[in-house]
Amino acid sequence: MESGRESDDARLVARFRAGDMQAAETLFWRYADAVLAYAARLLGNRTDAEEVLSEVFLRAFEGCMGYRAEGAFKAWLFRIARNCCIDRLRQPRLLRLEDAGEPVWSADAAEIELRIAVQRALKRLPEEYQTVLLLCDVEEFTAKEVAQMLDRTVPAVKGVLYRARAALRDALSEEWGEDA
Amino acid sequence: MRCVEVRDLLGNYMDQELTERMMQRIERHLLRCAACAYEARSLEQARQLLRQAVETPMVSEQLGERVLRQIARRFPHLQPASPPAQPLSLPLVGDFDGGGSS
Repeated sequence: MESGRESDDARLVARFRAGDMQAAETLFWRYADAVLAYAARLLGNRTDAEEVLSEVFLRAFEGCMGYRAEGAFKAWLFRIARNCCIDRLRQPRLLRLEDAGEPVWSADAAEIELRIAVQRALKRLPEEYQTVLLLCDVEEFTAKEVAQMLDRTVPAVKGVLYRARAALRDALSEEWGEDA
Repeated sequence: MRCVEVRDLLGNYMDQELTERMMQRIERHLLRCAACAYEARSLEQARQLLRQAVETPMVSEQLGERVLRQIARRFPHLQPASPPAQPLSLPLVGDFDGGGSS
């Protein structure tokens, strides 16, 4: 069941533990964009996501010192990322940047409009729905991987995913009103 | 197939997790049933919009280097380069105190 990427990650983790900085750099650059994107989506802004990024990798590499390659490194990394984001969201509001309500990426007007609508629709969903949608439909983790990350069963994740897709569709319809 | 059966399997259908035969049965149902066809199409559309809207931001080189410097400081056992001639031996976890794992 282990993919080539997973076994390669496990080898890199072993090299990191042996003191190979190059292995740490490879693991970092392999997943940095995806972790930043995931954090930005959960947190709603890039600045907070950039701060969380270092925390995620530091925690991940700390964990690597006791890592036994029992699960996929990527799934484990995203589990840490989610926990870091939840911690961040629990911090008092004044200590965090206010959400601008706008995406932080450069794009044309139509794209910005789309992203604002989708972000707003996404934010209206329960946290569990957001998480499962982002992990399954954006990051393309399998239901089994997400179940491991969230300590849920596979059928439970699939059930949440179905309800989350329907909730997102309904929220988007409301965002766009009659135009949806 | 009845609508209720199709709805139960729609998530698996979207993720192409069904047998070819079952996929075809659902597709035949979707051709005949406007309500289920709308359900399938609108869910897929929402998923596509989500993917389209959450374009991946890139980690800048500057940010990446900053994080890697933090990693290097936090884990003093790391060597800047990995000379190929150096034999790879896995140390015991307890040999590393710099990680400060919590």
